[in-house]
Amino acid sequence: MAAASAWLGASTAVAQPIDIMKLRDELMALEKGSWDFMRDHNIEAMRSFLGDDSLWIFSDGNRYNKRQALEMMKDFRLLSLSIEPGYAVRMLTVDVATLLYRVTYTGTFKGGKPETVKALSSSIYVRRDGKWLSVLYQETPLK
Amino acid sequence: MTTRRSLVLAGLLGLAVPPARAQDKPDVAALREQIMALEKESWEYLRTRDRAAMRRFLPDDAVLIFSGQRYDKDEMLAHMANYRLDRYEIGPTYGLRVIGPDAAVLIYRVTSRGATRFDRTATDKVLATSLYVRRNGRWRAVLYQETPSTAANPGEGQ
Repeated sequence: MAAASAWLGASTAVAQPIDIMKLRDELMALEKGSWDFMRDHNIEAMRSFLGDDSLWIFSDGNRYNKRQALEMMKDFRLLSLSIEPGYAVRMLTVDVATLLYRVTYTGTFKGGKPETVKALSSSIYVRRDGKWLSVLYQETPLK
Repeated sequence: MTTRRSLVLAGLLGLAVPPARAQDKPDVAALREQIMALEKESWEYLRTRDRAAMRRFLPDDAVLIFSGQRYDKDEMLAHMANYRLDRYEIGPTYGLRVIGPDAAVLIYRVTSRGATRFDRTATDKVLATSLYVRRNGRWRAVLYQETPSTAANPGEGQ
């Protein structure tokens, strides 16, 4: 019971930071892995990482469902990536969490001019059959 | 029969609910309207600067990301005191993705016109998502985020 409360971020000051910190690092490891999949054009790994109902919304307003995202990966070249260390996680239900972070990356699309994006990102994860899946990634450009 | 039709409809809309909890599947269309009604309430609280209502509306762990900034609940309430929303219009083609038995994401396009104190009035066209989770039987808005829309990607619904 205490553990459940901790996961919800509701109480038990001692247990909560331990579990939340563990989850934060677990989800960030998954998130960084997905950026690696992008950089390496690892479409199969990305397919496994994304929920079938996943949606990406990038800072330029482009949005992609899973099929479109996997297709887009073929034409996108990630040149550099930096995630700021002050990222956070919010446990929203026992099976839904969101990772919040600032990211800067440079990439090219279809061999075009490299563009650098600085954004506030949120990444929503859902635990299905014991596995955390990414269902929504969204960027808001930093001013 | 209704359940079967709902499953087919959910499939067509690209919605997903874990199969293990299929018996708990909500009527997605009804839920979409229910959550959009809540979302519109929050826009009205912003327009009328009803901070007390917004305080009740937002759970304590709410996060809002817009205009290049991230706000927690208290910061959002403080922002309301310095922001004047003249008008807003939500596009008709909003969508809902049910991502779990107690979680759903509303996706919509909104155009708003307003001004932060000492700043110019501006019109913003954005693609917005609003994540709601059900706690103690009540749907709560826990994460709201905007991304500017572009002409090529107007951000309509799904």
